Parts: sequence; C-alpha cells; structure tokens
Amino acid sequence: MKISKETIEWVANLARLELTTEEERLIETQLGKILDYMDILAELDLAEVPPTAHTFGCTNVTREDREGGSFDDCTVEKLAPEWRDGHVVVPRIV
Amino acid sequence: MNYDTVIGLEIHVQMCTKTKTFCGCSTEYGARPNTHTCPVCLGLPGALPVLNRGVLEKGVAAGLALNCEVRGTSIFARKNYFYPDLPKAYQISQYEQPLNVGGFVVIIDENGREKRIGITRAHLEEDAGKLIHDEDPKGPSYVDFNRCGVPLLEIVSEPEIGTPEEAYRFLAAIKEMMQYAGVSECSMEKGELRVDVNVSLRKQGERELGVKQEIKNMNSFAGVKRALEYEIKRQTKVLRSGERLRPETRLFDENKGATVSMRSKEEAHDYRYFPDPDLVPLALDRPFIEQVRKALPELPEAKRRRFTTEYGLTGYDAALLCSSPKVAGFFEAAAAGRGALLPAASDAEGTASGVPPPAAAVRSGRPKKIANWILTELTGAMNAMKVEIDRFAVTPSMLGELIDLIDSGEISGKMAKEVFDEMVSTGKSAHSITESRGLKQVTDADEIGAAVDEVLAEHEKVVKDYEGGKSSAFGFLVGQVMKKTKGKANPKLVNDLLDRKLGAREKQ
Amino acid sequence: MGLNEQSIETLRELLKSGEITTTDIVRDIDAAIESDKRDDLPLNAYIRFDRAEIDRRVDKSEREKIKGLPSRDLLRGIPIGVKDLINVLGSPTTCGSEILKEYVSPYDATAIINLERSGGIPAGKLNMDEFAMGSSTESSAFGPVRNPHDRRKIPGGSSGGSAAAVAGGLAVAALGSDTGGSIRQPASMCGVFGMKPTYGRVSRYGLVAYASSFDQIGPVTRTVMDGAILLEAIAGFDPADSTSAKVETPRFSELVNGGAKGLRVGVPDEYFGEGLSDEVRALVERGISLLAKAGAVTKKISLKYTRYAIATYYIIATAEASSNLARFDGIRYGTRFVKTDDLLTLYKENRRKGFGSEVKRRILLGTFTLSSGYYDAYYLKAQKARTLIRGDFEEAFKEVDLIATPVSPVPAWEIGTLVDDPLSMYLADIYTVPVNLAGLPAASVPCGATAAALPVGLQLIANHFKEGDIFRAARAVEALQ
Repeated sequence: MKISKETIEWVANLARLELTTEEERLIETQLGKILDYMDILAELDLAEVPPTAHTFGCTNVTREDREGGSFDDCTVEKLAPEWRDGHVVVPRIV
Repeated sequence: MNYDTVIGLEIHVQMCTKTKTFCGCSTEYGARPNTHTCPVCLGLPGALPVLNRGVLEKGVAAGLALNCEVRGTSIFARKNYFYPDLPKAYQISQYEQPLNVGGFVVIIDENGREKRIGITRAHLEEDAGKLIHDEDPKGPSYVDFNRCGVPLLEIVSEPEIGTPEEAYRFLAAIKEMMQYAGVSECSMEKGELRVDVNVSLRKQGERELGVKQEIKNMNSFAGVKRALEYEIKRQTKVLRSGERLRPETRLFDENKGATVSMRSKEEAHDYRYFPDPDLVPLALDRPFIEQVRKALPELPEAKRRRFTTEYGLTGYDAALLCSSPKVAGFFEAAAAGRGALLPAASDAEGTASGVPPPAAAVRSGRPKKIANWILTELTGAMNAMKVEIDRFAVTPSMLGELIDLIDSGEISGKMAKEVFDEMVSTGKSAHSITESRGLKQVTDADEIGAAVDEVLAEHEKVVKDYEGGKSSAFGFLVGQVMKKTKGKANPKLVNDLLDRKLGAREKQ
Repeated sequence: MGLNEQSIETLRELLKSGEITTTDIVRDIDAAIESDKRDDLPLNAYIRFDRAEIDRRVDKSEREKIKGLPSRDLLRGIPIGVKDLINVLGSPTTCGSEILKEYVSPYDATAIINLERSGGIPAGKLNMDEFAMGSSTESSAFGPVRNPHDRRKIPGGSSGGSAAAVAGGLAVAALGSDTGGSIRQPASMCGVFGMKPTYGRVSRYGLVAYASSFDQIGPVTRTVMDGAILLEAIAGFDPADSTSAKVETPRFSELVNGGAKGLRVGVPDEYFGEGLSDEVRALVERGISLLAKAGAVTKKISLKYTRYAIATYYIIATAEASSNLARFDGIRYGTRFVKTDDLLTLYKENRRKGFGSEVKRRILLGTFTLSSGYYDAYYLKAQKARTLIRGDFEEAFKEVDLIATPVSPVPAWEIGTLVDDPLSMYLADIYTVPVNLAGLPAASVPCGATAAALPVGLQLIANHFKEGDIFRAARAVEALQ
C-alpha cells in the first residue's frame, strides 16, 4: 500500500523518531513494499479464527506479596546519565 | 434554555499491598527517592513482570465491593506513550478484557432518596513515577521512581452523576467501599486516591450528550465539588451565549476556585493498546471468587442496615458510624458491653462483628447513647487532637463504662463531660477518675434532703415567691441545692425531694 | 589443536583430570582472537573480550568450586561466549547498538545465573545484529561479522558473532538468541550446531526483549552433545519470568545418543518449493536420507499455511519490538547524545542517533500496525493467522515426531548485498519463522557444504518440550557425516 509522507511523519512522531528527508523517502518506499507484501494475509478467511495473543496456554502466574529483589541505594545513580540530589534529571516538563 | 448536568468520574485508587504490582519492591510511602527500585520497575532492558497475587485478590475484592461482575478471563494490555516518569514507555494496564465490569454504588441523593451510580469498569494497572520540578522555572525536572509499579485500581463511573454534591457523595462511597474491602486507605493527601472529572451539559429533554470537559488535578472531595460547581456555571454561560464548547482538558486551581484550560499541545493520544506478551491471561473460576468474597468483611450498606435494626439507631447515625470501618468497629465493641459496671469483653481490636447486643441494652437506649457520644464528644476530641479512633486514648470499653456510670446515676450528665475530658488527657478510666475526684453523684436521699432543708431555711423569701406562684423560683432553689452539694447531687432526686418538701410545706 | 577448538565434552574431561585449567582455555581463546584481529578480514565476532574481567570471573568460579557448590559438573569451568543481548552483571550489554554503548548491566540474566551454577563462565560478549533485528549481522554498531568459511560472506544473523566465534575457533561454545531464526540460520551458514529451545524452556529474564512472544536463548556449539550439555545448563523454570514453563529439565546429554531408530520424520512440501537453491535442496535431502539410514521413518506432510508465515511473523514481531524498544531514550541509562532543555528533542535526538536504520524501520512498521485504524487490518489479522500456522504443526505432530526442512533457502551471501533490500532479507527467513510462531523447539545441524565450501544446515523441528528427539536425530546425522 502506498504510505503517505504525512503518515510516516505521524508514525515517526508516535515512536519519537526523527527522520531526515532522505530517510523519509527511503522509508516510504521500503515500508510501502513491505506493507504490500503483508496484504497476502487478505487471502485468508479469518472471521472465525481466534487470535493467539500468548504462545503459552498457561494462566494465572503470580508471585507472593513479599519483599525482595530491590536494588541497593546507589544503583539508579550509577545507571543515570544525569543525576542530582537523589533524582534522575530530565528536561523541564511543562 | 435549561441544561442537565452529566458527570462521570475516573478514580485511581492505590492498592495497599506490601509490594508493587509486578515486582517485589516495597510500596512504602515517603521513602528516600529512588531507593525502592529493581530491574522490573525501572524498565531495564531484559526485565520482566510477574503479577503480585495480593493485587489480584484486592482487585477482585474491590470488584465485589462495587457489585461488579468479576470476569472469568481478563488480560493485561500495554498502553504505549512516552513520558519521563514511565520507564518502559508503556504502562501495563487493562483494556479490552478488564478484571471487573458492570457494577454500581448506592448514594443518597439530595432529595434523600437512594440513587444507584453505575460503575463501568474497575481494572488493574501500575502507577508511574513522581516528577518534581526545579524551583527555577528555567531549571530541569526530576524523577523519583519509587512509585513506579505501585498497584492501582482504575474505577470508571457511568456518566450518571447529576450534581456536584452527588459527585462528592459518590467519592465518599467509593472511599468507604475501598477501606472496607481492605483495598486502600484512600488518603488523597498521600495520593492514594486521584480523581479526574468529566462533565458536560445536555439540553433538557435531549438524549445526545453535550461536549465533554475533563478536569484534572483535584486534591480533595470538596475540591471536586467546587470544581464542578464552577465548571457547570462556566459551561452554562458559554452555551447560553450561543458559543460552542470544544472537548478540553482543564486544570482546577484550588486558590482561585476556578478551572483553567490546559494550554499545552494536547495531541490526541494513540496508545496502541495490545495484549502484553510478557504476562499470561487471568482465568478466575467461581471457587476463587467465592473465596475472596467470603474473606470480605461486612460491607457498609449491610452494616448500616444492621445497625438500624439491631441497635435501634437512626439511619442517619448508622450511616455516620459506618462511614469508617474503624469507627463502626469501635461502636460495636462499646455496645457489646452488658450495661453493667464490669468492663466489656476484649476491646483490643475495637471490632466486634456479628455479636448482637443484648435486647435489654437496646431497649434501654444504651447503643443510642454510645453512638451519640461517639458522634459528638469523641469525634470532637479526635479532630482536635488530629488522631484516628484506633489510636485514641479512650477505648470502646472505657466509653462503655462511662455510659454505664451515667445510666446508673453515679455521675450526672454534666459531670460526665468533665470526666470524659480527663479520660482523654490522662487515659484513666471513668471509674477511677470519678473515685479519685470524688465526683460521684450524691444519690443518698437523706443527704440531699438535708441540703434541701438547709436551702429552704436559707431562702425563705424565695420559698414565699414560689408559693405565691412564681414558678421560676423553683429553678433557683434547685440551683442552690446543687451549689450546696458542690454540683454532685443527682438533679432528678433534687427535683423530686424539693418538690415533695415544698408540697409538704404547702399542706401545712 | 588449541584448547579453543575443542568441544565442551573433551575439555570437561581434561579439566576433571586436572590436565588443564580454565585459564589455559581462556589463554588459547585470547590468543586466537588476537591472531584473528591481525587477519585482513577479521571475523569481528566479539564486541568485548576483556581479559581482566574474564580472569576475575574465573577466580570467582574457582573459589566457588572450592566451596563445593553442587551441580557444577555440567560445565566444570568452561568459558562460554555470550551474545551481547544477554545481561551479565558488571559487563556492558550493548545489544550491538550505540544507544546502549554505555549501559553496564546491574544484574545477571537468569540463564547466566544458571550457566554459572553449572560451572560455566561467561567469557566475552558476542557481536550481533542491532537489537537482534537482522539475518546477516551487518547492522551492528560495532561493524559486521564475517563468516569463517569465507570472510567475504555473512555469517548469518542475528547471532552472527556467536556462530562465527564457535566456527572460527574463537570460542568453545556460545549462547545466542532466536526470535525468527537468529540461532539456527547463522549456525547453518557457519557449519555449527544451534538450537532454539521450546518457548518457555529457558528463562527470558535478562534477555533484552526484541519480540517477547518469540524470543528464546539457546546454545551455539561445535557438536550436538555440546549443545545438549549447554542447554541443560541454562534451562529451567524461573519464577521471575511469567512465560517460563513449569517443566522439569531433562538430562539432555543423556538423551543424545538414543539413536534415530523409530523416529517418524515429516518432510513438508511447502518447504521444498520455489526459492530453495538447488545446492541447498540436494544437501538437505541428503541429510534427511542419513536420518532414514539411521533408522528414522520419513513421510511427506503438508504445512499449508507456511506461505503466510513471513507476513504474520513480521507484523507481530515488529509490533512487539516497537513497544519493547520504546524504553530506550537515554533517560535512566544508556547514552544521552544531546544536551537539551526540551523533552521532545531529547527523545527524538537520542533515538535518532542511537538506533540504526534497520531498527528504525522495524519500529516504524510496528508502530504503524498497532496504531488505531490499522490494528485490525494488520496486527489482529496476524494474530489470527498465527493460530492457523500453529494449527498446521499441531496436526502434523499427531503423525510425526520431527519435521525436517532446510534452514535457509540459500547459503551465505556476500556482505553488503541485501542491506538495501530489506524485504528480500525478510523473505529469506521463510523456513525459520514458522517455528517461532508456534513456540516449538528446532535446531540446525550441519549437513554438508556447497561447491563453494559454504556450509548448509538441516533444520529439525520437534513438538513442544521434545528437544530430546531433536538431539537424537541431530546426533545421528552428525555421526553419519
């Protein structure tokens, strides 16, 4: 299917990806081809077929409401690219 | 043109499990930032969620308390969006197959009638982290991930609430239910209950709903009511002026008492919900649901009804007592006493369930008196001291003892108030305070009789006034007897004796 | 032959008798890696092989051996290469990407904990297609990996580093991951054994997720027996993974020599049609005849929904991936590429600079198919088609124990040939993706080489949790090579 420039931009924004004009052009063609290929599924009669959301067949996997597995106090700091006063620093949220 | 108000509420309730929804980190409130984290709630690459059984049980308990249908199959879905307080860039929530659907809550509307407000759904999801902002408006923001992953129950009401007052009562009812079901304490100050409001106006007589406005950032039930009152006025004004409303999200400004439009670029969110492949479906059978139902304590409505029939309380008093499970429990423990001067059975937990009070006690009006004391004196003292009933100096049996001392005539009603104040400040029992301060009412007829005789002798003129028809003189004489007995004489006895003695004199 | 070229089986005995130490093995591996670096076309199989770090792990392992901790006999101190998609505590885990270049794992994947408990030592992080998205290991931020049999050719992907290292003598054995063929296809192209276990057999906790309902960690080894030993070491129920199966781990190493006699092997028409190169067909058919020689019974079967597998796989996998990779934003960990006051800029710049083009392509595709208006047409349809494809296998396994097919329609192609033609590259996954859609176990066992000396593998697919059948059959083929 032909995928429009606007759609690409909208999808890219949803995914927080920034594409150059060149990349956009390329993606338009490539995704278009790929989506065309995906249309092969239209050959199937799927009306009565249930979807498989889970590979497994298992249900009700739970754990006890008990403490455990937490990091020590300095792990988040060690991981964070920017840190101040016990918090991860991010650009100002308006 | 007149408009009907249509209000719907979306409530997020923080569930009081020990650990988070999908990991074993503590949910403890007020910990140092970023100290309750792990790969799962931090959204580290490779981490996976496992559902906390306590969250499932409380979710079902909540659904039952809200009269919902607990679905046999329910799945978790990913709600995808980007925000710094959301580590995985998706929130694990429920979308197409939520845990609970189709429930209701009963409130009393402003006409005193019962009204059912429908609950569309009540589903499980995880909370995000906390964002705070630098004091300098040009400065950055900061994230604390402790709250990330804490379990939430999202309760969505049907748009069946008709007035701001109904909304207030609805919220109170939800809070009551959640406390009773052991799901949450619902403290708005601690962020355990958050409300988003949807309100629109519909032309009277029409079916089609008006344009919905969403209001966020409410900090109290009263705030919700005020926000709605403002918003209804505002929308009415706009519509009457012939303008149209656009669907909007507004923020409530507590100080101004007004709602303000959110100027931020609120683009329509496409959350791209899909079933979370890292979690398996929930398959809940009847036995499991019944097990949770059996473990539920008696819920408020049933308790209210029982309080009116078993204890002879008014519906109004019953409702007030039952609005908090702790207060209701305190009442029952106090009412469980036999009306004797002996201390009641265990008051350690302050809860007694299913033990009906002796019929005689009910007939004597003892439960009513207890209720009255709780709703007036105790509530006043607790509010002044900012303390909850389970931490209050006066225990149920202590209150029971006080009531019994009044009933038996050992202390006067007026004296009782003083005794109570001392009970609160010292924690001593009514009995010991009465003894040590010698406050016991004088009930000895001879003693009172002697005092009456003295007063009659000392106030001949007043007696003559009374005999001359001035009825107020009687009250004066009573007062003098009370003064003479330092307020300790039983007023009824004083009245009787004075009456008799004056009468005897008349006959002379 | 250096110790780096020996099998786990052999080295185990040498370690047991005290003839060698772990350090001896590590030394030989290190020397081989250094030597390879001097080649005109180095394999580039490793992203990281830090000798000091490995020596520390060896020390730790020796100290634990002295403590006499149980069940260490399985791997007895053998160093194992780890695909850089698996968290190893204290080591950078880059996933072949710029965006995680600076991410140091603060925890161990369960498979690594199991590996260490069995006496194995994580030694080096192996190169891979970025975030496991690829079939050629050309999309790594750390450069492409080469096929040891012909260094101008791809080793396959996304576990290209794992396969090339084992095939090229730069590792004794390795862990890879397989989402749509990422262990089996490089194993086939490099002439080594590689298995994707049943979904749920090995814990995914600590494996950086690409497509959550498909991913599995598995062994890449020189011999079938080595594969069985390594799988036995890492498998097992994990309460930290909700999709982990509560099944006992069989003693796979004891099942390997069970022989192929009596095994019923299905050969699906749909896997031998158009698109399969003649050379590959001939070699695969020869492999199947070896099975028959070893006592297996073959029969023709049909897996009629095979032609829909690629579309089904790529829609679901990219949808899951688009969500799984959304967490990479440089905020809590990883690289922040830009200093900015604007949140949107931070997200977009970090992800633009941090991700390569294949990853971006798949994220966009996945985001698109999940978006409102397209969810029903693509994602929901694919989930339904998945049911049909699983049904194919369910039916087949009522009549056979194993299904034998090619792994790749063509042998290894030249590096750079298909990078600009993503769809063609996706279509080459036709024989491997159905397995992931159904959650079945499957392995690639070498069954010969083309005239150009490029290896070709035979794929053996078994029913859920029946890896034992695969090991028996694979061993039979291996023995008759």
